[in-house]
Amino acid sequence: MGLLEETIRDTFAHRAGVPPATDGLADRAIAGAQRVRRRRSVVASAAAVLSVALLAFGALTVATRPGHQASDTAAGPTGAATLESTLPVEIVVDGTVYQSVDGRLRLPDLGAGSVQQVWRMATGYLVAMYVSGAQASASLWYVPTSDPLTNTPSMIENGEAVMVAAGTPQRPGIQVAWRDDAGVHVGVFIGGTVADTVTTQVPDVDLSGVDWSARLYPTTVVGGAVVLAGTATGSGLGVSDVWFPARGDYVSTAVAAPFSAMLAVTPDGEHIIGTYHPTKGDKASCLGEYDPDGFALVNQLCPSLFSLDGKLLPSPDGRWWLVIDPTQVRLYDAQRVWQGAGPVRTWPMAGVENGGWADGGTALLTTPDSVLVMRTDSAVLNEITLPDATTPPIVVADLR
Amino acid sequence: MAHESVDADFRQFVALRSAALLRTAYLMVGDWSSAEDVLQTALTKTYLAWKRLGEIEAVDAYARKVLVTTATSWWRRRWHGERPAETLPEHGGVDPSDAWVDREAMWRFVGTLPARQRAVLVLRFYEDLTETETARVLGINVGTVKSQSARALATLRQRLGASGIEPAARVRPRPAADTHVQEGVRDGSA
Repeated sequence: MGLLEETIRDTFAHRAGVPPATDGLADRAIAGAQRVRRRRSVVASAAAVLSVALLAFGALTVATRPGHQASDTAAGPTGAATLESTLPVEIVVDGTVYQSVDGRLRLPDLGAGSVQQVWRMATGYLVAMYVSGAQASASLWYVPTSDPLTNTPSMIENGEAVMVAAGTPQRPGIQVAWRDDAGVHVGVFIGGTVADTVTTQVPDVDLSGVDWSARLYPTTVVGGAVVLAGTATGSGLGVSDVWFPARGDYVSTAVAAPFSAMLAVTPDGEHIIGTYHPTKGDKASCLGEYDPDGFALVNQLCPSLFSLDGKLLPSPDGRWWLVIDPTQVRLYDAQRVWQGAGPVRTWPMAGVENGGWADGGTALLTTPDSVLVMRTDSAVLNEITLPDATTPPIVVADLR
Repeated sequence: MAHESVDADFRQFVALRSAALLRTAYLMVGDWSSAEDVLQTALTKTYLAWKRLGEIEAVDAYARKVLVTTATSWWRRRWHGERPAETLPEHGGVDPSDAWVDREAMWRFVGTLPARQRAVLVLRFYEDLTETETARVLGINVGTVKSQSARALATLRQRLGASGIEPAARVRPRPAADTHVQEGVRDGSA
Protein backbone atom coordinates (compact mmCIF):
# COMPACT_ATOMS: atom_id res chain seq x y z
CA MET A 1 0.00 0.00 0.00
CA GLY A 2 1.24 3.50 -0.78
CA LEU A 3 2.02 6.00 1.93
CA LEU A 4 -0.72 8.34 0.83
CA GLU A 5 -3.23 5.51 1.09
CA GLU A 6 -1.89 4.63 4.54
CA THR A 7 -2.51 8.18 5.67
CA ILE A 8 -6.05 8.03 4.27
CA ARG A 9 -6.72 4.78 6.14
CA ASP A 10 -5.25 6.25 9.29
CA THR A 11 -7.32 9.41 8.92
CA PHE A 12 -10.56 7.51 8.39
CA ALA A 13 -9.87 5.15 11.28
CA HIS A 14 -9.17 8.01 13.69
CA ARG A 15 -12.08 10.14 12.53
CA ALA A 16 -14.67 7.37 12.68
CA GLY A 17 -13.36 5.91 15.89
CA VAL A 18 -16.20 6.39 18.37
CA PRO A 19 -19.58 7.39 16.98
CA PRO A 20 -21.99 9.27 19.24
CA ALA A 21 -24.88 7.40 20.81
CA THR A 22 -27.90 7.16 18.55
CA ASP A 23 -30.93 6.35 20.63
CA GLY A 24 -34.22 5.61 18.96
CA LEU A 25 -32.88 5.13 15.44
CA ALA A 26 -34.98 2.05 14.82
CA ASP A 27 -38.13 3.71 16.17
CA ARG A 28 -37.62 6.77 14.02
CA ALA A 29 -36.92 4.66 10.93
CA ILE A 30 -40.08 2.62 11.50
CA ALA A 31 -42.11 5.79 12.04
CA GLY A 32 -40.63 7.27 8.86
CA ALA A 33 -41.49 4.13 6.92
CA GLN A 34 -45.05 4.28 8.16
CA ARG A 35 -45.34 7.87 6.99
CA VAL A 36 -44.03 6.83 3.57
CA ARG A 37 -46.61 4.05 3.39
CA ARG A 38 -49.43 6.41 4.30
CA ARG A 39 -48.25 8.87 1.66
CA ARG A 40 -48.05 6.09 -0.91
CA SER A 41 -51.58 5.11 -0.10
CA VAL A 42 -52.87 8.65 -0.60
CA VAL A 43 -50.90 9.15 -3.79
CA ALA A 44 -52.03 5.79 -5.12
CA SER A 45 -55.67 6.68 -4.57
CA ALA A 46 -55.38 10.10 -6.12
CA ALA A 47 -53.44 8.87 -9.11
CA ALA A 48 -55.37 5.70 -9.80
CA VAL A 49 -57.11 6.92 -12.94
CA LEU A 50 -53.94 8.51 -14.26
CA SER A 51 -51.92 5.38 -13.57
CA VAL A 52 -54.27 3.14 -15.50
CA ALA A 53 -53.99 5.40 -18.50
CA LEU A 54 -50.24 5.62 -18.29
CA LEU A 55 -49.61 1.94 -17.69
CA ALA A 56 -51.59 1.19 -20.80
CA PHE A 57 -48.66 2.78 -22.59
CA GLY A 58 -46.10 0.97 -20.49
CA ALA A 59 -45.09 4.11 -18.66
CA LEU A 60 -43.41 4.46 -15.30
CA THR A 61 -44.64 7.81 -14.14
CA VAL A 62 -44.93 8.42 -10.46
CA ALA A 63 -44.38 12.14 -10.31
CA THR A 64 -42.76 14.90 -12.29
CA ARG A 65 -40.68 17.89 -11.37
CA PRO A 66 -40.16 21.06 -13.37
CA GLY A 67 -37.82 20.50 -16.27
CA HIS A 68 -34.12 21.23 -15.94
CA GLN A 69 -33.26 24.03 -18.29
CA ALA A 70 -30.07 23.99 -20.31
CA SER A 71 -27.87 27.05 -20.20
CA ASP A 72 -28.13 27.36 -23.98
CA THR A 73 -31.79 27.80 -24.83
CA ALA A 74 -31.48 28.88 -28.41
CA ALA A 75 -32.27 25.52 -29.92
CA GLY A 76 -35.10 24.31 -27.78
CA PRO A 77 -38.33 25.17 -26.03
CA THR A 78 -38.48 26.37 -22.48
CA GLY A 79 -40.93 25.88 -19.65
CA ALA A 80 -42.10 23.21 -17.30
CA ALA A 81 -41.66 19.51 -17.89
CA THR A 82 -44.18 17.63 -19.85
CA LEU A 83 -45.28 14.23 -18.64
CA GLU A 84 -43.70 11.42 -20.58
CA SER A 85 -46.39 9.00 -21.62
CA THR A 86 -43.91 6.36 -22.72
CA LEU A 87 -40.34 5.58 -21.82
CA PRO A 88 -37.86 5.88 -24.68
CA VAL A 89 -35.81 3.00 -23.29
CA GLU A 90 -36.43 0.26 -20.78
CA ILE A 91 -35.41 0.71 -17.19
CA VAL A 92 -35.29 -1.58 -14.16
CA VAL A 93 -36.47 -0.35 -10.78
CA ASP A 94 -36.54 -2.64 -7.76
CA GLY A 95 -36.51 -5.80 -9.85
CA THR A 96 -39.19 -4.75 -12.31
CA VAL A 97 -38.43 -4.02 -15.95
CA TYR A 98 -40.48 -1.09 -17.22
CA GLN A 99 -40.72 -1.83 -20.90
CA SER A 100 -41.10 0.80 -23.56
CA VAL A 101 -43.73 -1.16 -25.46
CA ASP A 102 -45.06 -4.13 -23.56
CA GLY A 103 -45.63 -2.73 -20.07
CA ARG A 104 -44.00 -4.24 -17.01
CA LEU A 105 -42.10 -7.43 -16.39
CA ARG A 106 -41.22 -8.58 -12.90
CA LEU A 107 -37.84 -10.29 -13.00
CA PRO A 108 -37.91 -13.75 -11.46
CA ASP A 109 -36.06 -14.55 -8.27
CA LEU A 110 -32.42 -14.93 -9.27
CA GLY A 111 -31.16 -15.88 -5.83
CA ALA A 112 -28.85 -13.88 -3.62
CA GLY A 113 -27.45 -10.57 -4.68
CA SER A 114 -28.66 -7.45 -6.39
CA VAL A 115 -29.34 -6.65 -10.03
CA GLN A 116 -26.33 -4.82 -11.41
CA GLN A 117 -26.86 -4.55 -15.15
CA VAL A 118 -29.51 -5.69 -17.61
CA TRP A 119 -29.28 -6.22 -21.35
CA ARG A 120 -32.26 -6.65 -23.72
CA MET A 121 -32.00 -9.52 -26.17
CA ALA A 122 -34.37 -10.53 -28.95
CA THR A 123 -35.71 -13.42 -26.87
CA GLY A 124 -35.38 -12.08 -23.33
CA TYR A 125 -32.95 -10.43 -20.96
CA LEU A 126 -29.46 -11.04 -19.68
CA VAL A 127 -29.18 -9.98 -16.03
CA ALA A 128 -25.92 -9.51 -14.14
CA MET A 129 -26.29 -10.17 -10.42
CA TYR A 130 -23.73 -9.30 -7.80
CA VAL A 131 -23.26 -10.61 -4.28
CA SER A 132 -21.10 -8.39 -2.05
CA GLY A 133 -19.24 -9.23 1.12
CA ALA A 134 -16.43 -11.64 1.89
CA GLN A 135 -17.67 -14.12 -0.73
CA ALA A 136 -18.28 -11.50 -3.40
CA SER A 137 -19.28 -12.93 -6.74
CA ALA A 138 -21.04 -12.08 -9.96
CA SER A 139 -23.36 -14.17 -12.08
CA LEU A 140 -25.06 -13.77 -15.44
CA TRP A 141 -28.62 -15.02 -15.91
CA TYR A 142 -30.70 -15.47 -19.02
CA VAL A 143 -34.37 -14.64 -18.53
CA PRO A 144 -36.24 -15.69 -21.67
CA THR A 145 -39.49 -13.92 -22.46
CA SER A 146 -40.32 -15.19 -25.93
CA ASP A 147 -42.16 -18.27 -24.73
CA PRO A 148 -44.16 -18.01 -21.51
CA LEU A 149 -44.03 -21.80 -21.12
CA THR A 150 -40.26 -21.95 -21.09
CA ASN A 151 -39.28 -18.70 -19.43
CA THR A 152 -37.38 -20.32 -16.57
CA PRO A 153 -34.25 -18.27 -15.86
CA SER A 154 -30.90 -20.01 -16.18
CA MET A 155 -27.48 -19.05 -14.94
CA ILE A 156 -25.18 -18.57 -17.92
CA GLU A 157 -21.87 -17.91 -16.22
CA ASN A 158 -20.52 -16.88 -12.85
CA GLY A 159 -17.24 -15.71 -11.35
CA GLU A 160 -15.70 -12.57 -9.95
CA ALA A 161 -17.07 -10.32 -12.68
CA VAL A 162 -19.23 -10.69 -15.78
CA MET A 163 -19.75 -8.46 -18.80
CA VAL A 164 -21.95 -8.34 -21.89
CA ALA A 165 -21.23 -6.22 -24.97
CA ALA A 166 -22.51 -5.81 -28.50
CA GLY A 167 -20.57 -7.60 -31.20
CA THR A 168 -18.13 -5.91 -33.53
CA PRO A 169 -17.18 -6.66 -37.16
CA GLN A 170 -14.17 -8.58 -35.87
CA ARG A 171 -16.12 -10.34 -33.10
CA PRO A 172 -19.70 -10.71 -34.34
CA GLY A 173 -22.54 -11.74 -32.05
CA ILE A 174 -23.33 -10.73 -28.51
CA GLN A 175 -20.15 -10.99 -26.49
CA VAL A 176 -20.07 -12.41 -22.96
CA ALA A 177 -16.87 -12.21 -20.92
CA TRP A 178 -16.15 -13.11 -17.33
CA ARG A 179 -13.32 -13.79 -14.93
CA ASP A 180 -13.00 -16.68 -12.53
CA ASP A 181 -10.22 -18.72 -10.97
CA ALA A 182 -9.37 -20.26 -14.33
CA GLY A 183 -8.73 -16.94 -16.06
CA VAL A 184 -10.63 -14.56 -18.30
CA HIS A 185 -13.07 -16.02 -20.80
CA VAL A 186 -15.01 -14.60 -23.72
CA GLY A 187 -17.62 -16.23 -25.91
CA VAL A 188 -20.73 -15.54 -27.96
CA PHE A 189 -24.22 -15.73 -26.47
CA ILE A 190 -26.40 -17.85 -28.71
CA GLY A 191 -29.36 -20.10 -28.05
CA GLY A 192 -29.44 -19.41 -24.35
CA THR A 193 -25.82 -20.34 -23.75
CA VAL A 194 -22.28 -19.13 -24.42
CA ALA A 195 -20.44 -20.75 -27.32
CA ASP A 196 -16.99 -20.51 -28.87
CA THR A 197 -15.38 -19.71 -25.55
CA VAL A 198 -11.73 -18.65 -25.50
CA THR A 199 -9.70 -18.33 -22.29
CA THR A 200 -6.55 -16.49 -21.32
CA GLN A 201 -4.51 -16.13 -18.19
CA VAL A 202 -4.08 -12.56 -16.99
CA PRO A 203 -0.89 -11.77 -15.13
CA ASP A 204 -1.56 -9.96 -11.88
CA VAL A 205 1.93 -8.48 -11.89
CA ASP A 206 2.85 -7.16 -15.29
CA LEU A 207 4.77 -3.98 -14.86
CA SER A 208 8.37 -4.46 -15.83
CA GLY A 209 9.73 -5.57 -12.51
CA VAL A 210 7.95 -2.92 -10.47
CA ASP A 211 6.37 -4.31 -7.34
CA TRP A 212 2.90 -3.32 -8.34
CA SER A 213 -0.09 -5.43 -9.16
CA ALA A 214 -3.62 -5.11 -10.39
CA ARG A 215 -6.42 -7.61 -10.79
CA LEU A 216 -8.06 -6.98 -14.13
CA TYR A 217 -11.63 -7.70 -15.19
CA PRO A 218 -13.20 -7.66 -18.65
CA THR A 219 -15.11 -4.44 -19.26
CA THR A 220 -16.00 -4.29 -22.96
CA VAL A 221 -15.18 -5.46 -26.46
CA VAL A 222 -13.61 -3.14 -29.04
CA GLY A 223 -12.78 -4.29 -32.56
CA GLY A 224 -11.17 -7.68 -32.11
CA ALA A 225 -10.12 -7.02 -28.53
CA VAL A 226 -11.49 -7.56 -25.05
CA VAL A 227 -10.63 -4.59 -22.84
CA LEU A 228 -9.71 -5.43 -19.25
CA ALA A 229 -9.48 -2.90 -16.46
CA GLY A 230 -8.53 -2.78 -12.83
CA THR A 231 -6.85 -0.69 -10.18
CA ALA A 232 -3.22 -1.17 -9.26
CA THR A 233 -2.71 -1.83 -5.60
CA GLY A 234 -0.27 0.55 -4.01
CA SER A 235 -1.10 3.41 -6.32
CA GLY A 236 -4.84 3.46 -6.91
CA LEU A 237 -4.18 4.25 -10.55
CA GLY A 238 -6.16 2.64 -13.31
CA VAL A 239 -4.89 -0.16 -15.50
CA SER A 240 -6.42 -1.06 -18.85
CA ASP A 241 -5.12 -3.88 -21.00
CA VAL A 242 -6.36 -5.45 -24.23
CA TRP A 243 -6.61 -9.11 -25.20
CA PHE A 244 -7.13 -10.33 -28.76
CA PRO A 245 -8.79 -13.75 -28.34
CA ALA A 246 -8.57 -14.72 -32.02
CA ARG A 247 -4.86 -13.96 -32.23
CA GLY A 248 -4.04 -14.95 -28.70
CA ASP A 249 -1.97 -11.91 -27.86
CA TYR A 250 -2.34 -9.90 -24.71
CA VAL A 251 -1.17 -6.29 -24.61
CA SER A 252 -0.57 -4.20 -21.52
CA THR A 253 -1.35 -0.59 -22.36
CA ALA A 254 1.08 0.40 -19.63
CA VAL A 255 3.90 -0.15 -22.03
CA ALA A 256 2.10 0.05 -25.37
CA ALA A 257 1.05 3.67 -25.65
CA PRO A 258 0.15 6.86 -23.85
CA PHE A 259 -3.16 5.88 -22.31
CA SER A 260 -4.65 6.77 -18.95
CA ALA A 261 -8.27 5.70 -18.91
CA MET A 262 -10.97 4.45 -21.23
CA LEU A 263 -14.04 6.67 -21.41
CA ALA A 264 -16.17 4.99 -24.07
CA VAL A 265 -16.27 2.85 -27.18
CA THR A 266 -17.18 4.47 -30.49
CA PRO A 267 -20.64 3.42 -31.71
CA ASP A 268 -19.18 1.30 -34.52
CA GLY A 269 -17.36 -0.75 -31.89
CA GLU A 270 -14.02 -0.13 -33.56
CA HIS A 271 -12.23 2.44 -31.43
CA ILE A 272 -11.66 3.44 -27.82
CA ILE A 273 -12.17 7.00 -26.60
CA GLY A 274 -9.86 7.69 -23.71
CA THR A 275 -7.55 10.13 -22.03
CA TYR A 276 -3.81 10.40 -21.76
CA HIS A 277 -1.22 12.75 -20.35
CA PRO A 278 0.96 14.34 -23.03
CA THR A 279 4.11 14.47 -20.95
CA LYS A 280 5.39 12.65 -17.95
CA GLY A 281 3.93 14.01 -14.76
CA ASP A 282 1.68 16.48 -16.60
CA LYS A 283 -1.60 16.99 -14.77
CA ALA A 284 -3.39 18.22 -17.89
CA SER A 285 -4.95 15.45 -19.94
CA CYS A 286 -5.62 15.03 -23.63
CA LEU A 287 -8.52 13.31 -25.33
CA GLY A 288 -7.69 10.48 -27.68
CA GLU A 289 -9.47 8.08 -30.01
CA TYR A 290 -7.52 4.86 -30.27
CA ASP A 291 -7.43 1.87 -32.54
CA PRO A 292 -7.01 -0.93 -29.99
CA ASP A 293 -4.74 -2.81 -32.35
CA GLY A 294 -1.44 -1.16 -31.53
CA PHE A 295 -3.13 1.69 -29.69
CA ALA A 296 -2.60 4.11 -32.56
CA LEU A 297 -4.15 7.54 -32.01
CA VAL A 298 -6.83 8.14 -34.66
CA ASN A 299 -7.95 11.50 -33.21
CA GLN A 300 -6.52 13.63 -30.46
CA LEU A 301 -7.29 16.89 -28.72
CA CYS A 302 -4.89 18.62 -26.33
CA PRO A 303 -5.79 19.78 -23.84
CA SER A 304 -9.04 17.92 -23.50
CA LEU A 305 -12.11 20.14 -23.57
CA PHE A 306 -13.50 18.64 -20.43
CA SER A 307 -12.13 17.13 -17.28
CA LEU A 308 -14.21 14.01 -17.19
CA ASP A 309 -15.24 13.11 -13.71
CA GLY A 310 -17.99 10.77 -14.73
CA LYS A 311 -19.23 9.15 -17.89
CA LEU A 312 -19.14 9.70 -21.63
CA LEU A 313 -22.08 8.27 -23.58
CA PRO A 314 -21.81 8.47 -27.38
CA SER A 315 -25.13 8.39 -29.24
CA PRO A 316 -25.70 5.23 -31.30
CA ASP A 317 -25.31 7.13 -34.57
CA GLY A 318 -22.09 8.76 -33.39
CA ARG A 319 -23.55 12.25 -33.77
CA TRP A 320 -23.54 13.28 -30.11
CA TRP A 321 -21.61 12.84 -26.89
CA LEU A 322 -23.44 13.10 -23.61
CA VAL A 323 -21.01 13.85 -20.79
CA ILE A 324 -22.13 13.28 -17.21
CA ASP A 325 -20.09 14.59 -14.34
CA PRO A 326 -20.93 15.22 -10.68
CA THR A 327 -22.29 18.72 -11.18
CA GLN A 328 -23.56 18.92 -14.72
CA VAL A 329 -24.66 17.15 -17.87
CA ARG A 330 -23.31 18.35 -21.20
CA LEU A 331 -24.18 17.58 -24.81
CA TYR A 332 -21.44 17.80 -27.43
CA ASP A 333 -21.54 17.60 -31.20
CA ALA A 334 -19.18 14.63 -31.65
CA GLN A 335 -18.03 15.76 -35.08
CA ARG A 336 -16.90 19.11 -33.70
CA VAL A 337 -15.31 17.90 -30.46
CA TRP A 338 -12.03 17.12 -32.17
CA GLN A 339 -11.90 20.68 -33.49
CA GLY A 340 -12.23 22.00 -29.96
CA ALA A 341 -15.90 23.00 -30.02
CA GLY A 342 -17.56 23.38 -26.63
CA PRO A 343 -20.83 21.82 -25.53
CA VAL A 344 -24.02 22.45 -27.45
CA ARG A 345 -25.91 22.46 -24.17
CA THR A 346 -25.10 22.33 -20.48
CA TRP A 347 -27.50 21.35 -17.75
CA PRO A 348 -26.16 22.26 -14.31
CA MET A 349 -27.44 19.32 -12.32
CA ALA A 350 -25.86 17.16 -9.65
CA GLY A 351 -26.76 13.59 -8.91
CA VAL A 352 -26.96 12.09 -12.39
CA GLU A 353 -25.39 8.65 -12.14
CA ASN A 354 -25.82 6.90 -15.46
CA GLY A 355 -27.76 6.82 -18.67
CA GLY A 356 -28.29 5.35 -22.08
CA TRP A 357 -29.38 6.40 -25.53
CA ALA A 358 -32.71 5.26 -26.93
CA ASP A 359 -31.95 6.47 -30.44
CA GLY A 360 -29.92 9.15 -32.16
CA GLY A 361 -31.96 11.91 -30.57
CA THR A 362 -33.11 10.70 -27.17
CA ALA A 363 -31.28 9.60 -24.05
CA LEU A 364 -32.35 8.61 -20.57
CA LEU A 365 -30.37 9.69 -17.51
CA THR A 366 -30.74 8.25 -14.04
CA THR A 367 -30.34 9.66 -10.54
CA PRO A 368 -30.83 7.63 -7.36
CA ASP A 369 -34.55 8.44 -7.37
CA SER A 370 -35.52 9.65 -10.81
CA VAL A 371 -35.02 9.33 -14.53
CA LEU A 372 -34.53 12.26 -16.89
CA VAL A 373 -35.39 12.27 -20.57
CA MET A 374 -32.99 14.27 -22.72
CA ARG A 375 -33.76 15.10 -26.32
CA THR A 376 -31.11 16.63 -28.53
CA ASP A 377 -33.65 19.07 -29.99
CA SER A 378 -34.80 20.38 -26.63
CA ALA A 379 -33.16 22.45 -23.91
CA VAL A 380 -35.38 20.91 -21.24
CA LEU A 381 -34.61 17.74 -19.30
CA ASN A 382 -37.91 16.19 -18.31
CA GLU A 383 -37.63 14.49 -14.95
CA ILE A 384 -39.75 11.58 -13.79
CA THR A 385 -39.35 11.05 -10.07
CA LEU A 386 -39.49 7.65 -8.43
CA PRO A 387 -40.24 8.42 -4.79
CA ASP A 388 -40.95 4.78 -3.98
CA ALA A 389 -37.78 3.38 -5.52
CA THR A 390 -35.49 1.67 -3.03
CA THR A 391 -32.67 1.17 -5.52
CA PRO A 392 -31.39 3.51 -8.22
CA PRO A 393 -32.96 2.85 -11.64
CA ILE A 394 -30.90 0.88 -14.16
CA VAL A 395 -31.06 1.65 -17.87
CA VAL A 396 -31.44 -1.54 -19.93
CA ALA A 397 -28.90 -1.77 -22.74
CA ASP A 398 -30.68 -2.83 -25.91
CA LEU A 399 -28.65 -5.42 -27.85
CA ARG A 400 -31.43 -6.56 -30.20
CA MET B 1 -47.95 -10.96 14.71
CA ALA B 2 -45.87 -10.98 11.51
CA HIS B 3 -45.66 -7.21 11.68
CA GLU B 4 -44.30 -7.39 15.24
CA SER B 5 -41.77 -9.97 14.15
CA VAL B 6 -40.52 -7.71 11.37
CA ASP B 7 -40.18 -4.84 13.82
CA ALA B 8 -38.28 -6.98 16.28
CA ASP B 9 -35.92 -8.29 13.62
CA PHE B 10 -35.41 -4.79 12.31
CA ARG B 11 -34.64 -3.42 15.77
CA GLN B 12 -32.09 -6.18 16.28
CA PHE B 13 -30.48 -5.38 12.94
CA VAL B 14 -30.27 -1.69 13.84
CA ALA B 15 -28.76 -2.51 17.22
CA LEU B 16 -26.11 -4.68 15.60
CA ARG B 17 -25.22 -2.61 12.58
CA SER B 18 -26.08 1.04 13.17
CA ALA B 19 -22.73 2.00 14.70
CA ALA B 20 -20.77 0.66 11.74
CA LEU B 21 -23.15 2.19 9.21
CA LEU B 22 -23.04 5.51 11.06
CA ARG B 23 -19.25 5.57 10.85
CA THR B 24 -19.37 5.05 7.09
CA ALA B 25 -22.01 7.75 6.71
CA TYR B 26 -19.93 10.14 8.81
CA LEU B 27 -16.87 9.66 6.63
CA MET B 28 -18.98 10.42 3.58
CA VAL B 29 -20.91 13.49 4.77
CA GLY B 30 -18.44 15.01 7.21
CA ASP B 31 -20.34 15.49 10.47
CA TRP B 32 -22.11 13.22 12.90
CA SER B 33 -25.45 15.00 12.88
CA SER B 34 -25.79 14.80 9.11
CA ALA B 35 -24.51 11.23 9.18
CA GLU B 36 -27.33 10.30 11.54
CA ASP B 37 -29.85 11.90 9.16
CA VAL B 38 -28.42 9.90 6.28
CA LEU B 39 -28.45 6.70 8.32
CA GLN B 40 -32.04 7.21 9.35
CA THR B 41 -33.06 7.72 5.74
CA ALA B 42 -31.23 4.55 4.74
CA LEU B 43 -32.78 2.58 7.60
CA THR B 44 -36.26 3.80 6.65
CA LYS B 45 -35.78 2.50 3.12
CA THR B 46 -34.33 -0.72 4.48
CA TYR B 47 -37.37 -1.22 6.70
CA LEU B 48 -39.68 -0.65 3.73
CA ALA B 49 -37.81 -3.32 1.77
CA TRP B 50 -37.36 -5.68 4.73
CA LYS B 51 -39.81 -8.39 3.73
CA ARG B 52 -38.47 -8.94 0.25
CA LEU B 53 -34.83 -8.82 1.36
CA GLY B 54 -35.12 -11.92 3.51
CA GLU B 55 -31.72 -12.96 4.75
CA ILE B 56 -29.74 -10.77 7.10
CA GLU B 57 -26.81 -10.79 4.68
CA ALA B 58 -29.00 -9.34 1.95
CA VAL B 59 -30.36 -6.79 4.40
CA ASP B 60 -26.87 -5.70 5.37
CA ALA B 61 -25.73 -5.33 1.76
CA TYR B 62 -28.90 -3.49 0.88
CA ALA B 63 -28.64 -1.12 3.83
CA ARG B 64 -25.06 -0.27 2.96
CA LYS B 65 -25.90 0.34 -0.69
CA VAL B 66 -28.81 2.61 0.20
CA LEU B 67 -26.69 4.39 2.80
CA VAL B 68 -23.92 5.10 0.30
CA THR B 69 -26.36 6.23 -2.36
CA THR B 70 -28.14 8.49 0.10
CA ALA B 71 -24.91 9.87 1.51
CA THR B 72 -23.50 10.52 -1.93
CA SER B 73 -26.53 12.40 -3.21
CA TRP B 74 -26.96 14.23 0.08
CA TRP B 75 -23.34 15.24 0.16
CA ARG B 76 -23.52 16.53 -3.38
CA ARG B 77 -26.38 18.79 -2.43
CA ARG B 78 -25.02 20.07 0.85
CA TRP B 79 -21.25 20.13 0.55
CA HIS B 80 -20.78 21.17 -3.02
CA GLY B 81 -18.60 24.19 -3.31
CA GLU B 82 -17.13 24.07 0.18
CA ARG B 83 -13.46 24.85 0.25
CA PRO B 84 -10.85 23.90 2.81
CA ALA B 85 -9.66 26.40 5.34
CA GLU B 86 -6.45 28.06 4.33
CA THR B 87 -4.80 27.30 7.62
CA LEU B 88 -5.10 24.34 9.88
CA PRO B 89 -6.89 24.82 13.19
CA GLU B 90 -5.04 25.18 16.44
CA HIS B 91 -3.91 21.84 17.69
CA GLY B 92 -5.78 21.08 20.89
CA GLY B 93 -5.66 17.30 20.93
CA VAL B 94 -3.45 14.85 22.73
CA ASP B 95 -1.48 13.66 19.73
CA PRO B 96 1.36 16.19 19.30
CA SER B 97 2.82 14.55 16.25
CA ASP B 98 3.18 15.10 12.56
CA ALA B 99 0.66 12.32 12.08
CA TRP B 100 -1.99 14.50 13.69
CA VAL B 101 -1.28 17.31 11.24
CA ASP B 102 -1.39 14.85 8.37
CA ARG B 103 -4.75 13.51 9.47
CA GLU B 104 -6.24 16.97 9.97
CA ALA B 105 -5.06 18.13 6.59
CA MET B 106 -6.13 14.91 4.94
CA TRP B 107 -9.59 15.12 6.47
CA ARG B 108 -10.05 18.68 5.26
CA PHE B 109 -8.90 17.88 1.76
CA VAL B 110 -10.99 14.73 1.57
CA GLY B 111 -13.96 16.97 2.38
CA THR B 112 -13.34 18.97 -0.77
CA LEU B 113 -13.40 15.99 -3.12
CA PRO B 114 -16.43 15.35 -5.35
CA ALA B 115 -18.96 13.09 -3.69
CA ARG B 116 -18.25 10.01 -5.74
CA GLN B 117 -14.51 10.27 -5.30
CA ARG B 118 -14.95 10.57 -1.56
CA ALA B 119 -17.31 7.60 -1.56
CA VAL B 120 -14.80 5.53 -3.49
CA LEU B 121 -12.07 6.37 -0.96
CA VAL B 122 -14.30 5.50 1.99
CA LEU B 123 -15.35 2.19 0.48
CA ARG B 124 -11.84 1.26 -0.62
CA PHE B 125 -9.81 2.48 2.38
CA TYR B 126 -12.25 2.28 5.26
CA GLU B 127 -14.63 -0.48 4.30
CA ASP B 128 -11.81 -2.38 2.56
CA LEU B 129 -13.97 -3.29 -0.42
CA THR B 130 -12.40 -4.43 -3.66
CA GLU B 131 -12.83 -2.20 -6.67
CA THR B 132 -15.46 -4.57 -8.05
CA GLU B 133 -17.39 -4.48 -4.78
CA THR B 134 -17.06 -0.72 -4.68
CA ALA B 135 -18.45 -0.50 -8.20
CA ARG B 136 -21.42 -2.62 -7.23
CA VAL B 137 -22.20 -0.61 -4.11
CA LEU B 138 -22.00 2.69 -5.99
CA GLY B 139 -23.81 1.37 -9.05
CA ILE B 140 -21.00 2.38 -11.37
CA ASN B 141 -18.59 0.38 -13.48
CA VAL B 142 -15.17 -0.77 -12.40
CA GLY B 143 -13.46 1.59 -14.80
CA THR B 144 -15.14 4.54 -13.15
CA VAL B 145 -14.06 3.31 -9.72
CA LYS B 146 -10.45 3.16 -10.80
CA SER B 147 -10.52 6.55 -12.51
CA GLN B 148 -12.30 8.18 -9.56
CA SER B 149 -9.81 6.66 -7.14
CA ALA B 150 -6.87 7.81 -9.23
CA ARG B 151 -8.23 11.33 -9.50
CA ALA B 152 -8.95 11.51 -5.78
CA LEU B 153 -5.46 10.35 -4.86
CA ALA B 154 -3.87 12.72 -7.34
CA THR B 155 -5.89 15.63 -5.96
CA LEU B 156 -5.02 14.80 -2.36
CA ARG B 157 -1.36 14.40 -3.22
CA GLN B 158 -1.35 17.76 -4.98
CA ARG B 159 -3.18 19.59 -2.19
CA LEU B 160 -1.05 18.11 0.55
CA GLY B 161 2.03 19.04 -1.41
CA ALA B 162 0.78 22.58 -1.97
CA SER B 163 0.27 22.90 1.79
CA GLY B 164 3.80 21.82 2.43
CA ILE B 165 2.71 18.52 3.89
CA GLU B 166 4.44 15.37 2.79
CA PRO B 167 2.93 12.51 4.73
CA ALA B 168 5.03 10.05 2.84
CA ALA B 169 8.26 11.79 3.83
CA ARG B 170 7.44 11.82 7.51
CA VAL B 171 5.83 8.45 7.85
CA ARG B 172 8.38 6.53 5.88
CA PRO B 173 10.75 7.12 2.97
CA ARG B 174 9.06 6.79 -0.41
CA PRO B 175 10.47 3.99 -2.57
CA ALA B 176 12.02 5.20 -5.79
CA ALA B 177 9.93 2.75 -7.82
CA ASP B 178 6.72 4.26 -6.48
CA THR B 179 7.51 7.66 -7.91
CA HIS B 180 8.45 6.16 -11.23
CA VAL B 181 5.25 4.20 -11.53
CA GLN B 182 2.91 6.97 -10.48
CA GLU B 183 4.37 9.56 -12.74
CA GLY B 184 5.13 7.65 -15.84
CA VAL B 185 4.35 4.06 -16.44
CA ARG B 186 0.57 4.14 -16.46
CA ASP B 187 0.58 7.22 -18.62
CA GLY B 188 2.86 5.48 -21.04
CA SER B 189 4.85 8.65 -21.33
CA ALA B 190 8.03 7.55 -19.61
